[in-house]
Amino acid sequence: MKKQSVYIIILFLLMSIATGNDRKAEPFSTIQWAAGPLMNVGHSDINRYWRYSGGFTMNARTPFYFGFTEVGVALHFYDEYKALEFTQIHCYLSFLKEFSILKKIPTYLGVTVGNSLFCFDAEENQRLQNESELTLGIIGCIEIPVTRKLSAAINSQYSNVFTYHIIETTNLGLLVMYKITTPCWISELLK
Amino acid sequence: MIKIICRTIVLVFLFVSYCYSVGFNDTVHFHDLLNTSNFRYVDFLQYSANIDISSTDFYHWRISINDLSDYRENGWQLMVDGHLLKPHIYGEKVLNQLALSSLLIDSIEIINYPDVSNGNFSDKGIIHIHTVKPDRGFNCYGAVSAGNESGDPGPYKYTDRGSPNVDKIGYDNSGIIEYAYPSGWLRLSCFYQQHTFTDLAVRSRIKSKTTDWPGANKSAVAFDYQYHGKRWQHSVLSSLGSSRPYFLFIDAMEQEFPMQFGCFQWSYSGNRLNSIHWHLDYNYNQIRQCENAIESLMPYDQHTIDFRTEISQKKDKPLRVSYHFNGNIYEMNGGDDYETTYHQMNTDMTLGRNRNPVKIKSSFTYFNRKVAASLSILHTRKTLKKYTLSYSLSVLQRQLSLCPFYQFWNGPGKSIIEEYRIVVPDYPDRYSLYSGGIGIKGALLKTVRVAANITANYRHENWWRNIVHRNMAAGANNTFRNVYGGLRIVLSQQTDGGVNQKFSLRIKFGEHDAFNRYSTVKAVYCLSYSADRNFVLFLNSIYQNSEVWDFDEFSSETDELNPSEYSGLAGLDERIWFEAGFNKWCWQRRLLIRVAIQNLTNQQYRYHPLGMNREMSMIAGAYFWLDGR
Repeated sequence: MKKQSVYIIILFLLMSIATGNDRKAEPFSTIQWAAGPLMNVGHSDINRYWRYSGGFTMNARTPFYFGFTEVGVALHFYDEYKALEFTQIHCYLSFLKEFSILKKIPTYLGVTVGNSLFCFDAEENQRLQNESELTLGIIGCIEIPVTRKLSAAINSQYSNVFTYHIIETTNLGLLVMYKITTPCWISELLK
Repeated sequence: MIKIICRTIVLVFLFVSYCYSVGFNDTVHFHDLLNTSNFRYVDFLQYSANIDISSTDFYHWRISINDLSDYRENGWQLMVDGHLLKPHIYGEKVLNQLALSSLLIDSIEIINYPDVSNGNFSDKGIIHIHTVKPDRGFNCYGAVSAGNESGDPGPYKYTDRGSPNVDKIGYDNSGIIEYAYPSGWLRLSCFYQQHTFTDLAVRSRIKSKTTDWPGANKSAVAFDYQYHGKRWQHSVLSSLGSSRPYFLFIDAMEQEFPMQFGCFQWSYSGNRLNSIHWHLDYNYNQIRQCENAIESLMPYDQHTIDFRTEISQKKDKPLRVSYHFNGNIYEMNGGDDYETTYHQMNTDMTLGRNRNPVKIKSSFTYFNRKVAASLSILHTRKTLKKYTLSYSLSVLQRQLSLCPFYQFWNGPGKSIIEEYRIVVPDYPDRYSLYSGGIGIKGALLKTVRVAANITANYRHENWWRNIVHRNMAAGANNTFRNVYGGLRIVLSQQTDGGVNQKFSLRIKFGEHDAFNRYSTVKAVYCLSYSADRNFVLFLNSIYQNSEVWDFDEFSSETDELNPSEYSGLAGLDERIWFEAGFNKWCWQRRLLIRVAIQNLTNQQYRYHPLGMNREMSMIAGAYFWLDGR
């Protein structure tokens, strides 16, 4: 699956280029803030060494040429099981395209690129060092509008952390989203 | 007497020449550099189908331009805005050690054939970097970038599945302040660069030589002054760089050696009415032992002075005549000093009409009480409405010991590694290159441009190599001959919809020996899409076929019982490199954010069987211009 996910990213980029003129909104015209808890689904190698005890994510999404872009950070907490506990801080940048199946329920698919920082509790042992690694993934999101600005979303993300022993994780999130018009100064800065 | 006369005649008619693949110089512009994943301008050379590269560490590149030199000698010339710079380590040029930021680059011109440029003749190609001309007033700009390579242990570090760190990509930061006025400018630049050597392929070798942390740290500063008056023009470039430590892989020893490298360059160029030009270049290279080195090579200092002057006459028959003096001193720490000088006269004449010019170039070099002379003829014709046809024939004969690599290891280098000698015999000390080329370029369709050329070469070198490092008693006498041809095709397209694509293919065929190990087929495809002026998405790919490396090339018959420990490695498999990324300009083009992923398919990708492997990596950087770009 690791290589396949990379090919999906290449395919996504080529598809984005091919449909580049298919713009639905002015780039950076709105910002949609989102936050919510995360949970780990499925069982992978990493669960043999640590117990997942929950996570949390915050992100901001804006229209971006041929789709949407999203920047965010996710925290994942892994408790001690067979190895020392750590916190994974995953900073990411995603490109999403909207594929609305139902008219009023937008659905998004995209790719994500980021960096995962693994922080160990240094107070317990001074020799511990933080580790960071490249992370790639595929994301999907179903948005359920509540009001014009407020909506709820179910977020799923399959990601690979490219450590020597590749870490595969699948996360589900329940997010609250709030959309605002981009302030002029931010819009000017981004343009 | 007859012998002397014959010898003199032969020497006088030793032809050195040009035109290997006429009219096919590569010029890389700043936006081309941006549309790749590389943050160091040197790394961009990987994308040229005209250049073969080899490296054990993705930092010290050994470059052969258009097969003009063997894979390790780095014999090409380096120029920055007409200044001749020579950052040399043990006779090899090290492009990464120059005090130059990617931000300063306007274009990189790669001259693919022996040529005279700014009064200097180079038989192995020229890399000429042109820096950007600043806008009037005060400006400052800077860049920060860093990378993260996959394959680290991650959270498994403190478990039974722990593995070592394998990061190679360090920081690359630079800051530039400049002030431009109507007739010139002043520019001060500072750099800091880091490259780590923690890959498993080299880690153990480096550990056996030093207890230092295995990373090269380069810091450098440069000052640039330009004046353009109505009659006079002056340009001064001075730069100071230091790398502590630096690691140099010496292939005959199959080992990296740690050192502290320092270099200083001061160069002045001037001209009057663009008709009389003069250049004075001083280059100083300093090699020192690392404090924590377990084993290192002998330290030395190298001073080089070049003086060039050129007179040009530009009327209906342009003519340029130039003289070049080179003086070179090696001060060996613990050995004898070593000095060389040479004198060179060059002419460059254009005959015929503007549409179909005939260029005649010649070069005479006096070195080591011998003279090498050159003559070449190049004819360019506009054949059809959209096409230009060029053809050329050339012969080149030149002293091998004029090449800094052979000069070093045959001279001062003899006292550095006793076991490693490349001996150029006193007579005949020469190599020959006979080459011919035919090329065509023009527009294929409305948006597609095409260029194609075919070249044929015969190269002949005469030298000894004497490697006794594996208890060999004696070396081998070698006459090195190489016959090969090449085909190169470039197709490029630029559409109104913002899509740019370029495909380059290079195929070599013929007889190759151990010193021509590069892949015979190289294909490069670059695709970029500009959604608007401020956002570019790119996807690039490089294909190279397999390479055969003979690790017993340095062995002689006496060495059969004691072969190289790497005898089992036969070479490199064919490989494909994919990379993708984007550039986003923000804040009215004051800020540029760059993100890219290299080696997307995470294939094993290396340029040397004993070298590092570049795994999938993410690189991110930010460039800032106070006044925008």
